[in-house]
Amino acid sequence: MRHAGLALLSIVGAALVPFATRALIGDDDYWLQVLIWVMFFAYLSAAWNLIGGFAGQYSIGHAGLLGIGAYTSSLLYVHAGVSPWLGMLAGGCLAAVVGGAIGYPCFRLRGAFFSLVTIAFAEMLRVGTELTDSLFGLPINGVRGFLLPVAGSRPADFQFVGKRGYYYVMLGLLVIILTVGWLVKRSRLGYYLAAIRDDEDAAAALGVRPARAKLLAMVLSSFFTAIGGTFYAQLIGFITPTRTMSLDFSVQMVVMPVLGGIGTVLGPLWGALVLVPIGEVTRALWSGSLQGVHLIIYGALLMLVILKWPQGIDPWLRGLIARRRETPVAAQPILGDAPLVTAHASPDGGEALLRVDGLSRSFGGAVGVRELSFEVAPGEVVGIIGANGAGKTTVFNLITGALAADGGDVWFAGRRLGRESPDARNRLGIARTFQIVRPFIGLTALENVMVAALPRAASVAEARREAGRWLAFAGLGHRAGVIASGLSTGERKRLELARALATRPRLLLLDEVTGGVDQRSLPGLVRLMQGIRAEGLTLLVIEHNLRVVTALADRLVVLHLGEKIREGPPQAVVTDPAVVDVYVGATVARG
Amino acid sequence: MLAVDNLAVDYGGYVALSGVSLEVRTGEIVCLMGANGSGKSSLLNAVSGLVRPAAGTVVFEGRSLTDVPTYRRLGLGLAHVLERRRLFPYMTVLENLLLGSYLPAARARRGEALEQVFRTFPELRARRQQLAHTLSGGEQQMVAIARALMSTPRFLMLDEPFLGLSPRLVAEVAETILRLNVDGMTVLFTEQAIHQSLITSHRGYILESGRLVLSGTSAELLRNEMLQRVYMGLDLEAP
Amino acid sequence: MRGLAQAATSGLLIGAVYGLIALGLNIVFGTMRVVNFAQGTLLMAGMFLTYWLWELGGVHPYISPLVTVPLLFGLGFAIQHLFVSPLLARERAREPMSVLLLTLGLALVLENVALLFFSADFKTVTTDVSMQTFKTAGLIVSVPRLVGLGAMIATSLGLYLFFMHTDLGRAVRATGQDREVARLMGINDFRIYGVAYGLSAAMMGIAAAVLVPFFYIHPGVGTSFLLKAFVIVVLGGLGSMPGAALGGLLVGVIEGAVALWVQAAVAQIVLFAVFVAILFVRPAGLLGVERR
Repeated sequence: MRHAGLALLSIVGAALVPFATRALIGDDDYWLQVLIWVMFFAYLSAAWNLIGGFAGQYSIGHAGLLGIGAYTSSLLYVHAGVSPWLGMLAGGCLAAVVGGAIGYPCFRLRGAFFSLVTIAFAEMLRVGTELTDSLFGLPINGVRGFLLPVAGSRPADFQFVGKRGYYYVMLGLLVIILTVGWLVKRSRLGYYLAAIRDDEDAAAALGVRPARAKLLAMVLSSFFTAIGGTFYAQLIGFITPTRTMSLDFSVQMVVMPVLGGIGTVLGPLWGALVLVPIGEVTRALWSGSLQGVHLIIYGALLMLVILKWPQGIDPWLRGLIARRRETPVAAQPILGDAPLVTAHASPDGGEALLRVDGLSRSFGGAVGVRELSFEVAPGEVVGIIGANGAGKTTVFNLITGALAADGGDVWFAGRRLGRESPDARNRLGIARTFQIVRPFIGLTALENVMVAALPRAASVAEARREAGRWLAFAGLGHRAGVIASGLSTGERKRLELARALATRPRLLLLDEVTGGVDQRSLPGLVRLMQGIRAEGLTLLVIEHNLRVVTALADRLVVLHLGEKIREGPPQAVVTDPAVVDVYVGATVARG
Repeated sequence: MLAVDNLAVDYGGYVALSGVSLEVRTGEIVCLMGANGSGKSSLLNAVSGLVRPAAGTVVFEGRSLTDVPTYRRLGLGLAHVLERRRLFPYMTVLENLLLGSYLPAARARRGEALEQVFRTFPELRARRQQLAHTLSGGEQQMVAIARALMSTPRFLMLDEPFLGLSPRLVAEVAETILRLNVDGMTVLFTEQAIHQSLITSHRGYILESGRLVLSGTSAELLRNEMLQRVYMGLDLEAP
Repeated sequence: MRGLAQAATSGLLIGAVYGLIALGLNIVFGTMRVVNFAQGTLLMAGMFLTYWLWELGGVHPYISPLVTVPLLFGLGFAIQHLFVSPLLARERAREPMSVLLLTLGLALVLENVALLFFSADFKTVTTDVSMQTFKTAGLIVSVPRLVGLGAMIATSLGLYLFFMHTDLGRAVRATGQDREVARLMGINDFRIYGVAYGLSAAMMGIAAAVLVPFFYIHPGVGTSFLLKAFVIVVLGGLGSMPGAALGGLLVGVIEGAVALWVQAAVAQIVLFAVFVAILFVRPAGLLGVERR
């Protein structure tokens, strides 16, 4: 959330709505029950949202975690006399462990596969519980479920007479989960998750560790979901596997956030506010034999939302309420107090920053790169040119570690690079841009750069400042608050540059920066590249646009069919007959 | 036969072509040259409908193609062989050819077309049960062209037909193009290597960063000293 | 030993039904890359149709495919056209989950509409063949299950012929392999999607005809089959037709064997555990993504 004050106000306001409604309606137990259900589902949806919306991993088996919480606290209460308040925490921790253990290896399963696994998990748990009559000697009655002893009003044991007590508890829980969501969203984790959700590989290239971030989200989500399970058990007083761990329950936990706004803090609340009353109304109108009518409506709404308004309610509401303010970042050019490019101790004698030595890589029968050797001195700009298929992008991939070499070495700052992954090499000081820009579509320009700055910043605030500086440097200061999807290609290229720069590299690999940029934006972009160069950064540039690269580079390396055929100052290279031959094909006859 | 006017193509902001106009007259072979990223493929894609132009028109045999969906264009006599061949990888050569004659009109003439194709590319007959992804680059190119011919088009577009081929194969493909043209086919193809393109065509255009920078008959272009300098990025204002 | 063989036999036959469903899922996934959550409810629709044809028209379940198959094809085609196409047309890479959620919503709607109109009561159809069995090689084989196996073999054969030897079948395969090039061949890819979806729905008519004589009919029947079918499709390899068919049989056997030894419900757990294990070790399934 970009407007902290507004967000806090919204949460408090949202939490007060049930309170106010209740005050208006009075103490009628029925309406209280409805409100409790609204808050309950809002709570569960918000807990789900931590992994589903924020991290983009759609679990359709969260009811299983709910069940773990319900059974854990209930068993502890009935058989060990442990107060459900404590049992709740125990259940939460157990669920956190289970959720993490199942989630972590599954995260690499993309999209639908992950969902299928979670369904399988919940089903396994449900069927297993239905079959088990006793667990560790404690009777749980399998499919028949078990009753919790009703002992009147015992707040210390999470039991209240009437609905009022439960109402307050649920209200408290709801405020807690919404606050947790809000805190996560504006924390480091929140930014990482948003980036991962948009483009996991691009995030990894900036030094983010996706598996860790998702695991944390899953653990949090499981913990809170299980607590909801305890509440459910205490409220109903009767738990069965069929009801607590059913697919229907899991699906409802998904439908509400999707309707309300995936990945937003308040989305789950809106979703519950809309759907639960509908459920109650249909139940009231057609009670008894016509079960499941509300599910028809849920299903239809889900389809409608997916087709027409995939963003859900929340963004639509925000569009109505808040005007989009572009937070202007002070357009300071290079700051006086700290140089933008950290001056690394330059090695003496102008030793090469990057040295490629005999590098080779082939793909099946096709040669990618063969015995390639060249150097880049600190502060130099070297351009790589050549026809399509000459191996240029392969060279970049080999240097950044995205591809492993068959032979030869890459030396960076005097150190030979071996098995380091792209994000490790990024931390060493090698950054790159991609030919097809990959901004984090759902984030603003500023947030995009923040993701790059966060791994090296001490706090979110510091990362924000850093990001602002880089944006300004790239000429995008006035667009800091714009969502990346709203940026033009030229702006996106600048964003990509700012993001790469924010990782504080010593060597920057630029892959076809001018590709696809319209004529008007081109000069500005080239000026920016010259600006980066002026900062003292070392550049290795792939370019098809010969005009651009001859103006920018100190030296050119020409590749053809994976081999270096020429190297030298731009003017000399471009008029060299061998090079011309490659481009033009046979020396043009004169006269 | 084909007239492209003021065409602009962009992929969500990525400007591939702007303000490009060219034409291909019936019976001609025209080549479109340029480096990678110059927009050659985008132009062909706009003509065959794989991409919707952001601006401009494409007129084929007097009829505007603006509202004609891609899958209808083959029926108009316009065939497109994609860059890197793009055969259906897990289907045999024969199945690929059969798919080339999916359209009802082509289906009727299928047997004849198949015979014709096997005569033009004799090696394919022996390989017809072979899975497409196991073929070499040159063989794939032959199959791709053969597949396009199965619907007996009048206008053939080839995207980088010489890419990745050995000089001998390049000569073979070039010869095939010339032969087809002699038999009445109008051809538009793209290429990076200027010399080869110019000796295989009547006229040529040169694209750079999405704009046309030079055009003329192939003979003129071959003689043009300026061509080399333009192509290598010299002599035009630096940005 | 005989007990095991007996269990395997009965399992094999129900596995045939699983195989049909898995084949249907595969056709849709192979062509459109869509995980069709509504497949189970289409089966349920088929079963109800078959039931009503029997109750109202006295049409024997084994004859019913003559009616249900075209009807279901039409239903599938319509669903694809109305709901799935618009989503696929959006084609934004950012929404891999959207179609899953869409079909999930559809399944919810269909299942609960059925619940609304037909109530949750289990219905059965008892026909002359429902209880028939015959003995062979010392094993008792029930006729309905045998018919099931036969139907699956026949359908598989039919699909094979369709995909390999007809223009439309080839077009469906081609669209799954390279949609753009298919368009250049004059193939209307969106209509092909409709055909693929309709075909997989139509197959549910056959599966329904096979199931009805010896299985309960109720609104939730589709979901339980679907979850298992997912296991099968992943087991056999997404996109692989032989994988789906063989996977179905394999799952049926495992289910039968485990049910005999331990308990029917434990078999479920074993299945799902196997499912999760396979997803970890070989996300591409046992036979890999081998397109046909």
